Amino acid sequence: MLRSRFLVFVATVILPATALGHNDVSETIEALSAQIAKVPTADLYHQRATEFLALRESAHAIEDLRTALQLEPKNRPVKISLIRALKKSDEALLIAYQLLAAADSPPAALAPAYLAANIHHLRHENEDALTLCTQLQELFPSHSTEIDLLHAEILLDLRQPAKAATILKKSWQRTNSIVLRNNWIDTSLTAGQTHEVLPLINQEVASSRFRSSWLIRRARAALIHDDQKQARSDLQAALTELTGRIRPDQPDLTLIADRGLALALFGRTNAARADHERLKKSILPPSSYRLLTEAL
Amino acid sequence: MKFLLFLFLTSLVATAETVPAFSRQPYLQLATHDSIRVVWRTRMEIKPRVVYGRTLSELPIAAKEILTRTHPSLQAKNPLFKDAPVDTRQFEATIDGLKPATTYYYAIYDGDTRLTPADKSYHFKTNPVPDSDTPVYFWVVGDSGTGGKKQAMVHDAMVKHNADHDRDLDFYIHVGDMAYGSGTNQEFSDRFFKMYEPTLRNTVVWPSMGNHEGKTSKGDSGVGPYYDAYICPSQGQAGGLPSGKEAYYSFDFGKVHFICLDSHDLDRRPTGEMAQWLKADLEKTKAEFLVAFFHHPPYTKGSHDSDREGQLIEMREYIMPILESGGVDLVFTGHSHIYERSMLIDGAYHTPSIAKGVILDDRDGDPKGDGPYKKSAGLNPNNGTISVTTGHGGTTNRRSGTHPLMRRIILDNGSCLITIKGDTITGEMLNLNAEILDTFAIHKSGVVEHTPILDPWQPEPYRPKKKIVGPVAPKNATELIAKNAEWSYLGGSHPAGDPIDWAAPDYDISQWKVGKSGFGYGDNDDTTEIDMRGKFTTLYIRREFELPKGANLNKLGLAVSYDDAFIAYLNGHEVHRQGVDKEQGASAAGFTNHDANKTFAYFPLKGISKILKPGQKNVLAIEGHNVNLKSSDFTLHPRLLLGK
Repeated sequence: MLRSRFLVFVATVILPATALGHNDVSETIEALSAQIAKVPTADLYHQRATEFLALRESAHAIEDLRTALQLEPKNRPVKISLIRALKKSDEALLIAYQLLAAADSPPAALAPAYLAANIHHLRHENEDALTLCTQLQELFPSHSTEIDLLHAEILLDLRQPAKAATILKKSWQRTNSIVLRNNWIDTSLTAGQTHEVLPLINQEVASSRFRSSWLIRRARAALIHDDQKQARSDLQAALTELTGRIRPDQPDLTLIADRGLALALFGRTNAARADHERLKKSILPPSSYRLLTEAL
Repeated sequence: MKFLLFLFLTSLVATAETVPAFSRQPYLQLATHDSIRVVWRTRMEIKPRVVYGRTLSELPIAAKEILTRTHPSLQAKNPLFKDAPVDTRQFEATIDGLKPATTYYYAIYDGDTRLTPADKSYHFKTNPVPDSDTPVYFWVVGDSGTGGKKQAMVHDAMVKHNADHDRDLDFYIHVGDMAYGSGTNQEFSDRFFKMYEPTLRNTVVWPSMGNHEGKTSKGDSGVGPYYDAYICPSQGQAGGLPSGKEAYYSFDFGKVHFICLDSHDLDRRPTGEMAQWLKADLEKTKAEFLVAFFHHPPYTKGSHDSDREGQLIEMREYIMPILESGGVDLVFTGHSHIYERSMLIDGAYHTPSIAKGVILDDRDGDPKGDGPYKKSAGLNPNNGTISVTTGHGGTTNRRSGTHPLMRRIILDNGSCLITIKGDTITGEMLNLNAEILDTFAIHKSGVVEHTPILDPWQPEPYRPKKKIVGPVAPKNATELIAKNAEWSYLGGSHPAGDPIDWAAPDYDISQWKVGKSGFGYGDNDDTTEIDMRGKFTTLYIRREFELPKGANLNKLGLAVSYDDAFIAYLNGHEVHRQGVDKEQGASAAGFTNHDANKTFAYFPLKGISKILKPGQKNVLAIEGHNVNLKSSDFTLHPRLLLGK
């Protein structure tokens, strides 16, 4: 009895903190496997799953996480890791809702509710996602900006950009995060609203080192007001700057998304489509070039 | 010897100045050109007060705002993470209204009782005015948080180097893994704050989170011991754009813009908040130099492989393009326990990494060698980056291959010292013996256009050294002196008489103490704890043993678990020395580091037939040496074996 307790102690406390602490991932997996062979615990399986995920070996990771849950069916961290690994599957959603139902306090509900909202969004079940986001925002006044960004994205999918802009503006004012501010500006333009954001855009055009993204935003505002001249002038300037910044063979793909949008707004549709096709074949997720997709 | 003497002296300084009232000694955070934070911890109620001024003797101004953070069980408004001891109090004093580039001295009080000594080392210097031409000199360390000997030596080497060259750091960057194994509050105190205390009291550290800190701290929520320890500029207080999160941020120092990213637990994709912030921050800065730092290296073949591991691949494929199109000059990372410094590269986003077409300058970049790398003045897209993996700050180094972008690959513990002055960046890799093993420079002037090299210089392929296997202890040997045997021992002074008199059989050891082997401290591998850290480095032990008549003396050997070095004597005659170059006793010198690792190394004893007396009492005496006073551990655990 004492021996087995000692082995558990070694396996769960000493090894993770020392021997497994500084190794290469494959060696860590080997060391964990050796420990699992002696004394299998949910924590060891969870650790090995994390290492498999580092190597992008999802199938092995999922297998380990499921085994960990067999050993400890109520292990919350393991369940959260499994939800993440299973992405948008039915099983992921089911586990997220199980965790949500089992939450004994509002903080315990936070992670599963966000994960469930995200899965719904990935599955295009936007109404369900929206309900969860709204509840989270009400329940946690100082919630993570990720929830607001997800909420806004869902509203954009539902073609409600004005509502999305309201959420993003509120989040920016709460956190001062520049990402929230910029998303608010972009979403306001999508909603056809320029009054509040145009002064900020002009400030950024004047004060930024690289101005192309701000020139494109100002062109979008100009197009809302049917000011073709201003739009063309800004788009031309943006394209000139982008040409100097884009490395031809290994470009920053976010700049390709900017260039594609500028070209699309400029009316150079074929060139914009070429950028769009390049992005579709790239590692970038489609939400990175949503504005270009919409412009086309 | 000079270096050892220096270590001895710095050890004394650090020991003498430790103030017991603090459970975490004072350190500096969030410096700007007109403000700074002084942070410390106690395990008791105090009336916190911080005063400061321009001279050590006059500290006339009091900090107006001191935030107190306590354990969550005390219902605090600003709680610490739950693993902090319940009676912990963290104090964060904000000092503002300061003059730029100015040195101030400070003191911490409990009511009217001064807690910090009136020592000039308790000072801070404000940053220069943003955009000014002030040079900057900073230290970069990674993967150091063992609390061990190598970490201490890396730190001491930096202190010595700066003392020798009369230089002061402007700040210190840590690229993560600063508190092994899980970044708990206790591990932070023991393996980071205690270790670097003499530096941290007057030098701001700007951190980025490693995977080990990530076991207890979460980047998204900003909760955990890492976020308790540091105050990072989430609101753009130190220059740069507000990120809204302490996990990633930027700050300015003169004409240099610094960017810290969280490569561990946040979304690294271009759609993620961090990448969006990075892009916006790069668009905005008008600095002339750009330095980024984060934990997971985009290019490495050290203890980690950037072609295989997800976080490393994503930092290369998603983040590096944004940094390079923003004009980054230098990227510092850790995670991989090695020093690897690249050539001047751009667009190296392939998986697996390749050299063809992504190296802009394949020379060594050394001003005294091939000459510095050249870039255009200011920040220019895709004009060349130097990537440095500096995960060699205190733990065991590893190499798994040769990364094709690297100009220098060094398996030695150390750190980086960076100077940016005028139009030149100079980087140096300082090893734990205070030797500079790599120097590179980037000269930024005029307009420089590069054409990627199609067939660049390549580093030698890695050929792992064959492991040298030492002699193996004989199986079924008789233990003449067993594990955990009782020995007489002497520490804290040297034995009277000539240097090896004490090892002779008839030497008087009646005043020596008696204890069971092994002897030492640290690493939890000693039976008799010796309180020698910071006090002395040599321990003498002796024990009698009976040598059976007819014993085969060719089969006699010592099995010793040791850290760091020892000299063994039989009946007063030296029979083996390990890790000691010359002399003995108080005069012994030239020590080599060695970790006991809870194993016994075997040393056959030769030429001893005339020394030993079969069938009678004999004496084995050993002097154990620690490499320096600050060493985190010492072990001396001998066994005497007689093979059949």
